[in-house]
Amino acid sequence: MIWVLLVVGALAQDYRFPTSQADEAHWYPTAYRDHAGEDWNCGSIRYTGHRGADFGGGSFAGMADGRDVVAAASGIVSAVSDGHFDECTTADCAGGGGFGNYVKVKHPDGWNTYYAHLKKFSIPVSIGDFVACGDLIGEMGSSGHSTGPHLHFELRDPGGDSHEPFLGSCSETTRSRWVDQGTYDALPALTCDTSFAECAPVQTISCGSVVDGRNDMAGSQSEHQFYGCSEFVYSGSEVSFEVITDLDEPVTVDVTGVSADLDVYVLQTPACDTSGCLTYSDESQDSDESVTWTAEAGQSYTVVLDGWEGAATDFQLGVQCDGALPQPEDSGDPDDTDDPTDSDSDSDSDDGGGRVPNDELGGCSCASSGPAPFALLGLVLVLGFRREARRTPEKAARTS
Amino acid sequence: MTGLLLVLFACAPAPAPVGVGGVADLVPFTAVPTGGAYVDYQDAPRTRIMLRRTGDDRLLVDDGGSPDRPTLSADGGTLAYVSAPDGLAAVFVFELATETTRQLTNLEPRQPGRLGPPAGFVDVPRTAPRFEGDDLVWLVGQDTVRVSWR
Repeated sequence: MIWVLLVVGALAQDYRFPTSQADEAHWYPTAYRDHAGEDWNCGSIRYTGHRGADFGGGSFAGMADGRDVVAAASGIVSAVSDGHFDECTTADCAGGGGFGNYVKVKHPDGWNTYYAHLKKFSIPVSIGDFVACGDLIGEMGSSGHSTGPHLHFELRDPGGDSHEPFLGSCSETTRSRWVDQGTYDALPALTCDTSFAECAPVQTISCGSVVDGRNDMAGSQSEHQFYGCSEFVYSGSEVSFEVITDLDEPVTVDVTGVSADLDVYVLQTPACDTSGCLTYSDESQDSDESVTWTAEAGQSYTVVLDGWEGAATDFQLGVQCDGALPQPEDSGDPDDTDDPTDSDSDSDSDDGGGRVPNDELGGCSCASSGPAPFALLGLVLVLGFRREARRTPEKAARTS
Repeated sequence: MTGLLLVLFACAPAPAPVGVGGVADLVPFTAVPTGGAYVDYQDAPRTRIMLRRTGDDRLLVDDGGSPDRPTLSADGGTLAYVSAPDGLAAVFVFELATETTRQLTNLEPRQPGRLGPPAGFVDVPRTAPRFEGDDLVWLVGQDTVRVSWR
């Protein structure tokens, strides 16, 4: 409930109807969320205690034919359950806590969407995967607590409370969470929300820059709460900076002088849709933050400073670069070991002339553009989301 | 034990009505008695397995994989259950004395982007598996699956 209060006023992600264009004509609403005996439009298309929106797709014939279920918005897959019996007709089949085979996607605004009762082994995504709006995440089935093939679509806030996505006379919501919810007893549109995810940098900075600011300064936003590198969700204002370097080199951003809990994320793009998170720093309370990544010359990176649990604070941000000049190609000389920036064990000799072989500099374990760091990032994401399932995202209990 | 079972059944809500179009979901039963072990529906899809023996509930399994279908061995020392902590449903056993968990089936991980079951996938039981000596036993269609749990 605290989360509901914290996110008031923040711009939120909106959703498309979660199926493909090819399958749109097959779907129809079967049961909306229950509002004390009525649905969102004060009608009767609901049943007692129902928290989501159910959509049918042609019963078992439709299931056999295949009915696509796609991501309603971009995000990170934060839970998957697969392998459960999917021809349930008795409403009490086991698996997925009643959801059967299901997928949970965590979106940039920190909210989550659930896609439940899916067909067994129709789920092509895994925990930690990024999915863009419209990406396939499964097919309609009848797994878990289900009496026939359908999709149970449910929207939950960062605290786990379920919400009505439809706006209507009997809905508690003040705005529709669909991009276009359509008419009663029909489908919302298959239109993705393209207005939400962009981060808006207030300034472009580079090596040697020092910036004094606040995370709720002019130009800041209060939209993005989840960036994809960690499982943490931020309810405070965020301010973004664009960082560009002249060289391929390690870049360190230090954030000092804070009086509240401010964390730092580095994104490959300004998309802020959880697709390009490289690394982060999440020291607790008013500790300084520091992140290091390997930048490519001319590439734009977005550094986001976001407040934990609504935190707002002054800060000083400094950008330090390794400053190494472009190195000549590795001579292969085994005695050439005096330069700490030169790693003969690196296999990046094909990595273009003039690029600094800097993968091992500064103990940086963050991701860069190479495949191995991405594999490491993927592992971190997977482990992070496995941790999420075991505990609530309380910062006091989190690990760096 | 009979008294305990009656109490647990009495606590279970009546089944939810079938929804419009013959489709319903999320029947919220909160307690499934199986020798004192039961599934606690925290906030679907999250579940955990609890043990109720002397009036005090003991948390047995809370692995993030929606654990369910619990059954206890005859000596009460071993719990078998189904869960999917890594995304793929499998059968596990939990030793109450040592609090150690072992995964018995479906050790091959899910493969990203792959449709269909991983190699060697064994269907999980649709209800709680049975202890028969050193084996756990359940039906998959007409076939009986036996897996040693010792």
